[in-house]
Amino acid sequence: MTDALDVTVIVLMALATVLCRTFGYFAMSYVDLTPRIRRGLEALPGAVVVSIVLPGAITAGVAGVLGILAAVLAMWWTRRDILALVAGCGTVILVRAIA
Amino acid sequence: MINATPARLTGAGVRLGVTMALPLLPGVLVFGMSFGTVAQQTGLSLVEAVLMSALVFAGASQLAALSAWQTPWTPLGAATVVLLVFVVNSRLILMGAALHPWMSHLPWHKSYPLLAVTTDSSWVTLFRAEAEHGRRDVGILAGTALCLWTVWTLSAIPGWWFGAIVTDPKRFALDLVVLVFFAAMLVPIWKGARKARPWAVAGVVALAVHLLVPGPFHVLAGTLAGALAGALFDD
Repeated sequence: MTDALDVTVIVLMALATVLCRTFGYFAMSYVDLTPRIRRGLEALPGAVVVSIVLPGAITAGVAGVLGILAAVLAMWWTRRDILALVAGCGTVILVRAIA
Repeated sequence: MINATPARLTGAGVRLGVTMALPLLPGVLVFGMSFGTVAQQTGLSLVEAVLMSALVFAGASQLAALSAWQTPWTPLGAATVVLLVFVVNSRLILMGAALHPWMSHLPWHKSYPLLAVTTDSSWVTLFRAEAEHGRRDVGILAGTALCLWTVWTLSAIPGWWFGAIVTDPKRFALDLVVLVFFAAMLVPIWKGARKARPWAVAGVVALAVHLLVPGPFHVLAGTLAGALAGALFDD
């Protein structure tokens, strides 16, 4: 069964998400791209990745931390994302199998 | 630095985006299936589960919504779920702001649809392609998003229908594929230690908030701290 109220909540969730996806862009049309603003935006890709990855790794425990280290090292070494995935997930599997 | 030249939107970029999304698909598939399973356990119909993945297209916030799902609905219950989704996805506000220099020359009927399908992975892929190939092409965002959306939406179906197909995802590290991929992205977007000082600020703040405040606030807090640090530090 599909419930009208469930669908309403889902549509409201979608609207809230679209608002998040578009509002920052929209607001920037009213902001001058000064050097400070530019540097703030420049810092975002790394800041987003670090803010997701570090707490995620800690939550996943030793296997998570070592897996992520292995992935970064493999990416550094080879510049191939597939190899980084193999090294990272391989390390996680190995550490979990031992523990 | 953020290049002032506007990005292009090309078919070749779309195809490159699809290719760049491929390594992510196994992780997205497993994540999407586990969303479907949790949705079924929470009492959503198959149509509702697929509709949520198709329309919201933001995994962490969808799982957060299910954790607070409380039928029969009350206004307060519904508001709680929607607010939770907003908080989990609030990092996208900053991510969208970073796309302004890329797309401000595009007409709104091109830029806003692209924004509407932006996810963490497709957004990072855009910066990665710029760093690796010197290529500023928002077609890459479109291609990656298209690929991820299709797999994400469809994967809810087997997850809902069959329940937990992969009975022990942890054993095969499937729960961490997306996180591991994300971590690896730090390498291509690295532009030297000086440029990474705001990342360190972001990391410290994200960890501190994660340890001190329950809930999903650490991503926004870390991201915001990183952007502020970037703005305050000199080049």
